[in-house]
Amino acid sequence: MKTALFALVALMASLSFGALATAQVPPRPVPVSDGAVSRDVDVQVMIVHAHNSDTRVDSRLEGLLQHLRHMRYTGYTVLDTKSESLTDGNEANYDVQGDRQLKVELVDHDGSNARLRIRMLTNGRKVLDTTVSVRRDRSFIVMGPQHDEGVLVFAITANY
Amino acid sequence: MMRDDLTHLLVRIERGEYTPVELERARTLAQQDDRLPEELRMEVLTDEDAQADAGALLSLLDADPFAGLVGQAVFDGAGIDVADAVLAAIGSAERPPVADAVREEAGPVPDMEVPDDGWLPIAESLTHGLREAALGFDISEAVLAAVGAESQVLVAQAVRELAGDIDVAPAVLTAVGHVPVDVAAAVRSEAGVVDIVQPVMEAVEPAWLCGILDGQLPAEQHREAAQALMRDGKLGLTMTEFADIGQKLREVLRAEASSVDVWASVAPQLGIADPEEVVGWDGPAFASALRTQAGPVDVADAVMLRVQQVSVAPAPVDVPKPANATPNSWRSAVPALVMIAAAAVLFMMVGLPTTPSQGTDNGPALQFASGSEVTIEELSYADDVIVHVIPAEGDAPLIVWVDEGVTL
Repeated sequence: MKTALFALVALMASLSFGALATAQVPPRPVPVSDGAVSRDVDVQVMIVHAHNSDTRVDSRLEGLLQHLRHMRYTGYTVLDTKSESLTDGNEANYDVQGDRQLKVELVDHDGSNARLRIRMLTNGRKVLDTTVSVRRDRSFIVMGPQHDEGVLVFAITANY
Repeated sequence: MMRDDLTHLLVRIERGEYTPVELERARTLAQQDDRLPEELRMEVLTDEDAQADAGALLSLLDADPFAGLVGQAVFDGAGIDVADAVLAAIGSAERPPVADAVREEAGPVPDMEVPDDGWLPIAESLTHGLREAALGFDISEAVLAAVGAESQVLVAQAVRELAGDIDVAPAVLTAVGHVPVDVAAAVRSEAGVVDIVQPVMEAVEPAWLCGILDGQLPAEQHREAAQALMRDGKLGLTMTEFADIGQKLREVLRAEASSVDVWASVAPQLGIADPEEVVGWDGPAFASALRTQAGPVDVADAVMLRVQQVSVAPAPVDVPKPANATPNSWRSAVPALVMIAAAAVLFMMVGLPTTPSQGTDNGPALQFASGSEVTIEELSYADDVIVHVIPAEGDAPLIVWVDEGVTL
C-alpha cells in the first residue's frame, strides 16, 4: 500500500507541475552538418484537412495533433504531400483544394536555416505573403483556409 | 527764323531733295549769314557741288537738323526745360550740342512753383511708414500674390513635376526659406500615448480575449472574436503586442521556476524519512505489474473524446506476462487501479500524448521547429482576412493562422 501511495503522490506532483514538465522537454537533436551545404533543398508541403466528418487521424501528424486541439476538429486527414527540390530563388507552385494556390519560394539557405517565402492565393487573389526563416529539417504550420466544412493545414518543411 | 530756313534748306540739299529755286534761296541766305566766313559765302552752293557744300556748311553752322523743329515744338508747348527728356525720348541725349540747341530754341526756363496741395508730407509719411513696416518682415508672399504667383505649395508641386522621380522639393523650399515639416513626427507628438486597452476590452469579451490570444477558442467563437477585432485595425496590433507579452511572460516564469522538487517536502509528511530512497520500490517491476493488472482496460478513447473529441485506437503496447503477482489478487490490483485513475486524471489535465494510429501512410512524423529555430521575417495579408501568429514555444510549432472571410 505504501508503494501505491508513493506512486500516486509522484503522479499528482507531476500533474501539478505539468507546465513545467512541458518546459523540461529535452531539446531535439540537431542534425549535424558535414560542412558542405547542399545546393538543393527539398521543400515539402503536407496538406491536412481538419474536419468533423470522422475521428480518424493520420499517423504522420504525430506531434501536431496536440497543438491543434483548440480547433475542436475530430478528424485530421492528410490530403496530399507535395515535395519539390528547389535552389535559392526558385519557387514551387502548388494547387490546393478550393481554387487556392500555395507558392513556396526558397529565398536562400545556409548550413542551418532556410528562408522560405510563402504566398497563399485564393481565386488568384493573394491573401497571405510571409517570409519565414526555419531551421533545416524542421516544420512550421500555415493554416486556416476553409475547406469542406473544415480547414486546411499546411505543414511546411525544408529538408536538406 | 532765317537761320532756321538756311539750315532747313541745307538739309534738303544735302539729301538731294531740293529744287533749283531752293538752291538759289539757300545760296542767298548763306551769303548773308554772318556765322560763315566772308570768303566762303560767295563760293558755296554752286550747282556742281551743292550737296557737299550743304554738308560742310551744316558742320560749320554746328547745327542739328532736328534742333530747330524740336525746339520750336518745345517752345510752343510748355516753355519749361524738358529738353533733356525730349532728347532722351528721341535718342539724342548723348549729343550735348543738340541739347544745347534745344535749350537755345526753348528759351529761358521759367521757375515752376510746387502746388501746395498737402501731398508732400503725406508722401513722406507714407514712404517712411512702408519702410518701417517692411523692415524684418517677409513680404515675399504678398509680392508673389501681387505679381500673380501662386503659393509655395504649388511651387513645390511644380518643382516636383519638373524633377521627375527625384524629390528635390524639400531642398528647394529650404533654399527659398521654407522649412519642411516632419509630419509624422508632428502627428506622433500630438498623439502622445494612446491607451487602446479599453477599446480592446470593449470590443472583445475578456474571456474571448484570453481564448483568442492562446488560440483556444472553438472555430466559430474564434471567427466572431476575429470579426469583432477587425472592426478596428489598430486592435490587431495590440493583440499581437499582448501575445508577445504573454510569450515573454511565460519564458520568464519558466526561467524563474526552473525545476521545482516538491517530493522532498511531501515525502516527510507521508512518513518517508528519505525521499530519495523508498524501501522495496522497484519502478520497472511496478510498471510491469501495473500493465499486467490493467489488462484490456482502455481509457484512451474516453479521455480523448472528453478533451479532444478525437478517437484514438488502442496503443500497441506489449503486455508482458505476469511475473510477480497472481491475476486474481485484489491486493495487487489496487495499485493498478490507482495508477489507471491517476493516468486518467493526467490525460484530462495535460492532454493525451499524441498516439494517432489511423494513418494512411507510414512516413516520418513531422518535427516542428522550436521557438529559437523559426522566425517570421515578413508578414502581410489581404484586408479581408485576419492573421494570427502563434509563436513556437516548447515543442509547439509556429502557426500562421489565416482567418478567411472576415468582412470589415
